[in-house]
Amino acid sequence: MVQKKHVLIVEDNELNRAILGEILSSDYQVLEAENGQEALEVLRHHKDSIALILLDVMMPVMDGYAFLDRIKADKELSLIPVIVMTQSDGEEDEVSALAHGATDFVPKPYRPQVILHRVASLIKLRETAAMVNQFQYDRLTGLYSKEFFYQKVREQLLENPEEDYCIVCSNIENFKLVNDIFGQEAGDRLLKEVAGITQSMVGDTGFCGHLGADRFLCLQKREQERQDRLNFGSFPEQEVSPLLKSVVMRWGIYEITDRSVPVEQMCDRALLAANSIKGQYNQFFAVYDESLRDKLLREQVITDAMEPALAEEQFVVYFQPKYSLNDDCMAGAEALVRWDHPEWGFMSPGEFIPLFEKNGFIPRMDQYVWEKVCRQLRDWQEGGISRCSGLCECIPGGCVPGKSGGYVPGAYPKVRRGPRVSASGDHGERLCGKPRADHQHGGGAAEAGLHH
Amino acid sequence: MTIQECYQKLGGEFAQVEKRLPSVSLVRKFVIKFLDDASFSELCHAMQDGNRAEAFRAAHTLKGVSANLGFSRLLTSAGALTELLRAETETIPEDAAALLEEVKRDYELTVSAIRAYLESEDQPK
Repeated sequence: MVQKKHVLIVEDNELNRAILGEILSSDYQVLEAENGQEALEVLRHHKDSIALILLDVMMPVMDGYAFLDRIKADKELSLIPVIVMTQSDGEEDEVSALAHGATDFVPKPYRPQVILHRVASLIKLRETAAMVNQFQYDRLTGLYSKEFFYQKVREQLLENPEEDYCIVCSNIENFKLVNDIFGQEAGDRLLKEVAGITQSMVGDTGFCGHLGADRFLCLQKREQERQDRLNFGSFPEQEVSPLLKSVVMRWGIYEITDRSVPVEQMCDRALLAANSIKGQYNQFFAVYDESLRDKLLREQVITDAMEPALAEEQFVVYFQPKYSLNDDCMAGAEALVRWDHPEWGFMSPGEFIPLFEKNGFIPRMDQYVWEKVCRQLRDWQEGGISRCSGLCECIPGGCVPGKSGGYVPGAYPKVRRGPRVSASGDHGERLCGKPRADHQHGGGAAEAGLHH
Repeated sequence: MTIQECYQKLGGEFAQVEKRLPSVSLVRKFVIKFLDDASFSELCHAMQDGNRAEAFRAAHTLKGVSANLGFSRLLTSAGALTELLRAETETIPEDAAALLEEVKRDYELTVSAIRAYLESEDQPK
């Protein structure tokens, strides 16, 4: 059985109280108080269950207005809607009641249907407000939820057209790892701690939201944010947990110059800036600028073009000769890949290799180059060029899994048709010295090798 | 005596009240309860004591109760006295005494009608 909601009637006259109680008892559990003082007592014991208060203004021992003032001053009690019972003496009563913070008024004589409807709709309104409150605030951290943060930013910008602001997006490096290693509870605690610190850093001049997972958003006045960056590192030693001390946070800043950009996009840009310094040592801040966006667009364009490029054999393998100073002769060659795009022209590996490593296209690239190289070797051998013993070259990230330092030609069945290629100490050269999994860092080494 | 007749006697509007309260038996219940209501005696005491503020509050309450129960006659006189006492003066205005007499008269009328109704109920038909 669903419990009836509680309504508190505060009225000094017994008969009136009885009538009101009677009207309400069909739908509600009625609590009574003779005056404001008593009402406060009842509220103290039942404040979590009272959905609405019906208040008579004229009472001895704390009249209605004094009572209203008291409950409006209390953080929890002020949320309870109050209907004041006025006597149709004129507007004064009603205006007074509303001015003192009453939610609504009902005139005497009591009209049961009107009272019941008003009570029901006010209770519903309050419940909806409570629900909205839940959506506004992120449950874990107490910061604004994503949508509400966006809304608050819009409002703030609208209300302060002259002020300069920026959006700061922060994330925790490898937060997933934290969850994996230390468990979700620890991860949650970390998030709460970060939220707290972020909030205290921003203070009153801005506000913060929790975007989800390990991402936080702040709106700050531009001056304040710049100041924060200058002072970074010189914060007083706060009491931070050991877990927090061991994570790295990155901050991306988008300075709001163009207010016609949708807020969501502003936040995206800040995030972009934060991501652009991912994995970089000792870089904690990045400010968004147009080149970041251009880079992103370019990457997308390249990604779209890579499959067809492979199919159309737009990637060309060049062989750079290597000269041995000891032997005073040609000692081998290095295979380098270039992209000859029909529209964009020649593209250096620096433009696409790191991207292919990131998006996982690189093994396909490897295979392609391998084939090309092996075919070339066979051609040379058939053409009579001697001492073409082997040439090994390793495209970063493309090493066939096996022992480090060696790889299995057999993994590429097509290659078998060509000459046997062996890794030979003198002629061999490893360009990729790092294990396969570590693609990100291999990019640097590869570039160095391939740019010869 | 029916309750409608009772209302007629005391100069009230039964039809109105019947619409407001869920059932006739409830109307009856509250009408009877009116006999115990203290506002009238409080009013008299306050007037005697010369306490304007208290008198105003009591008159105001009496007016409200009369309105709720549809006691139109009593409502009118109580209302008049309430308005007179509303102004925040130190002492009770002189005209108040006369208005009080009217309230007393209407109150007596109301109460005796209700009592008669009660007695007629107790008597076997």
